[in-house]
Amino acid sequence: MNVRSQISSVFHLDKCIGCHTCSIACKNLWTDRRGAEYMWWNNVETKPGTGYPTLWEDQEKYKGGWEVTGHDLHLKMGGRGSLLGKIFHNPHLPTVDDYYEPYTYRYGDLFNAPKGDDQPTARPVSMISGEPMKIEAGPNWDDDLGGSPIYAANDPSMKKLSEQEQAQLFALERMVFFYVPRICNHCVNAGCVAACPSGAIYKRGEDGIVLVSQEKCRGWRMCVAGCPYKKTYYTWSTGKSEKCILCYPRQESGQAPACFHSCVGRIRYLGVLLYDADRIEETAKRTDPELVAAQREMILDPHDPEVIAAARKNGVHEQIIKAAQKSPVYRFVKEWELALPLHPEFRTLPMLFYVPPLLPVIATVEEGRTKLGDDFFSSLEQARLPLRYLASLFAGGNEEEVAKAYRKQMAVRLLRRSETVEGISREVAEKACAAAGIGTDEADSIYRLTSLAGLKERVVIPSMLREQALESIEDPHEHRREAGFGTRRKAKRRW
Amino acid sequence: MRKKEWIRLAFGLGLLLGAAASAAAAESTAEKAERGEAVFQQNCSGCHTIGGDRPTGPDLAGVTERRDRQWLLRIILEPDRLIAEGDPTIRKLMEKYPMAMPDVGLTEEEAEAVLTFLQHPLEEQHQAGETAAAKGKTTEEPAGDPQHGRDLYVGTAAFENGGAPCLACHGIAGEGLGRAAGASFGADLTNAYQSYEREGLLEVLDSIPFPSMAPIYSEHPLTDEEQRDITAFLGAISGTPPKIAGVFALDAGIAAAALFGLALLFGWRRLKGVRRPLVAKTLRQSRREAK
Ligand code: SF4
Ligand code: SF4
Repeated sequence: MNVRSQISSVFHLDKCIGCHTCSIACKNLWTDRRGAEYMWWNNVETKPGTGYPTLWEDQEKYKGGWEVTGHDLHLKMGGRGSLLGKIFHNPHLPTVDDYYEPYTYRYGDLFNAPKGDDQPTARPVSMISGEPMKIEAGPNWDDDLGGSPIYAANDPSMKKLSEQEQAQLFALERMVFFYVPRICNHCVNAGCVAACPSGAIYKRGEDGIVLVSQEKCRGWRMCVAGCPYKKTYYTWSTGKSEKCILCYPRQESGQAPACFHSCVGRIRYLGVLLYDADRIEETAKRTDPELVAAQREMILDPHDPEVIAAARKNGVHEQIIKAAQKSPVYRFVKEWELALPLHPEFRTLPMLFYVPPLLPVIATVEEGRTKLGDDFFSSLEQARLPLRYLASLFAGGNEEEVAKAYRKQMAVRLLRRSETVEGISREVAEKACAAAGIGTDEADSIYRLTSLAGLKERVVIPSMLREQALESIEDPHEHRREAGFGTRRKAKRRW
Repeated sequence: MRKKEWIRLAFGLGLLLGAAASAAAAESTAEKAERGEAVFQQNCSGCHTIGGDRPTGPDLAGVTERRDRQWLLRIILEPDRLIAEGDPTIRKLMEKYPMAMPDVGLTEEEAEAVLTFLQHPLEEQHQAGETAAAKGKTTEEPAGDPQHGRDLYVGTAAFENGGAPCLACHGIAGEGLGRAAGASFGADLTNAYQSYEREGLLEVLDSIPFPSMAPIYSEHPLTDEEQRDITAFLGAISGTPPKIAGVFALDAGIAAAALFGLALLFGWRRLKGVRRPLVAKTLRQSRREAK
């Protein structure tokens, strides 16, 4: 057992209201500058939809992530040999239009335009070239069904549904959408790290945060192609790639990452997971439907004395083990099996998990009373979104995984209804809990963590122990008796 | 602009000189000629003789009688312009001496001095100095070592005063040195010996009259021995037919193949945007369905 620790997250999609506050918090903090205008380390996309960049999930186009050929795991973009052939130009990169051309408006014209017969207008201009442009796309252009016939209809997961199911989804009374906020998953088997020819991307040993060294990066952009989630971005002004850093500077000072902190829906949970690094390869090679379960197996129980001993032996600090035991992520992912990885079939073993959105169930109104379908728990017919759609998003096509999570959420809902409003008897609620395979006390803890938890419970950051991490690579006494700490080199193009 | 003024001044001065030929000048003619001789040795003698014959440039004995003084001043001070203007005299001369006269960067004053010297080259002291120097060079100097010359040329042996090896700028096609026809900063020297001959080369290497070479070697002059060795080397390889054509063709071939490969790489199955084609396709479809 090779125990490592990883800062992981859970996004509870049933709570996301699609306000984009997270994206703005991130933008203001990290990417509000030249060369980074188009990037959204945190973006929120409407599903069904094609996302940002357009059709990022379609790996036949972008060739991100891993695939199993024979007994081996390979980057889908090709091995070292063929990478060498593509080194000066990787053909599978998204163009800026696939993200969207960032724009602003010439607001100055509203005040400075010469006197004339017409009202002055603020023309849209490109933030890259400064030229007037026609706005054709944005980071979430298909927001709230805005572009459904084009964008929602082309959602790659839609293709998995039958014609009839698709048609039903677009029927007005069944119209449905939900939001998927996305940041870098800080994957355990990261495609970006494996793709980088300069060795510039690394996964921090102590917390698993994936970072791009701005000094080592040579701008080959292989990570952009290698990441199936398209979560590394190329900064055109510096010629380097950049990505979500999980606000490690904030975490090191004990604060939640900006998107977690600002989240209006309080959908975001953060905590430590311990996992067995010896099992990475074996896990990533499992078949698509097995992947969710396999990844769950890879995650270890932080209360198990054997795991604790192995963790200590591996140098995982006591405080981190303690944080892992309090981790809300562990409860959602492993204990309750409620949270699932996004597109596990890309095989990067993403460490950001999503609680699939239950959405209001379609109910019938009888005699002025809302009634749920009786066979809801057996067939889940009345789920707003076809299970197959969600399974293709969160379970590598394994519908049972989604159904399991759904049943539990439904049981919690029914239990709460029986306790707080009339209409559902305790008996029905308990039956639902039993069908979902949880006790009522467990349902109660799910409810507490989902609805009542404060920031300190939702975001459990261990002490990052920077002093220790630093000691392993630098001598802390190095700068004693020196004036100041020197300067940091500025990143600049080297060609 | 400034040059023009200079020339007008020169013209005026020339007239003045002519008028005051017999009058006593501030500087005596002898003194001036003396100075002119120094300038001549330093800058002109690499290519020109006085009373001799060299394939690099016309003999200058009696040149002040043959040519208009103003024309002489111009050819010294602004040869490029004169050549560019297609001066008929120059054109005729260039048939015989294909190397264009370089602008050696003399001042007006120095040019005057040189002309004075050319006018009175036979005054005893000049004559005496000239022959003595010439004798010293030609008779007493031992022959150089061509092998050491080659080492110096390509840089395997260092110049004593730290000058740059010749190969840094000059290729030799006949030796296959420096991809001669390709990247050279200076002229190819395969035939240098043929055009300068021993004396001329020694002179050039000693005085470095070319303005582009002067800043490189004025601080790092070649020793007498080095001059002789290089001259010997150039003499040894003189006139060998160029070995370069094949190598050049190979280079060109490799470059073409590389370009072709690059073009292939760049164009090969490149992802041509995703969003625009998607939108266009969907719109086309829905329009078809609407019909
Ligand atoms: S989501 Fe992409 S960028 Fe983030 S670690 Fe995984 S492969 Fe790398
Ligand atoms: S801030 Fe929270 S609720 Fe708002 S879009 Fe982001 S994740 Fe969703």
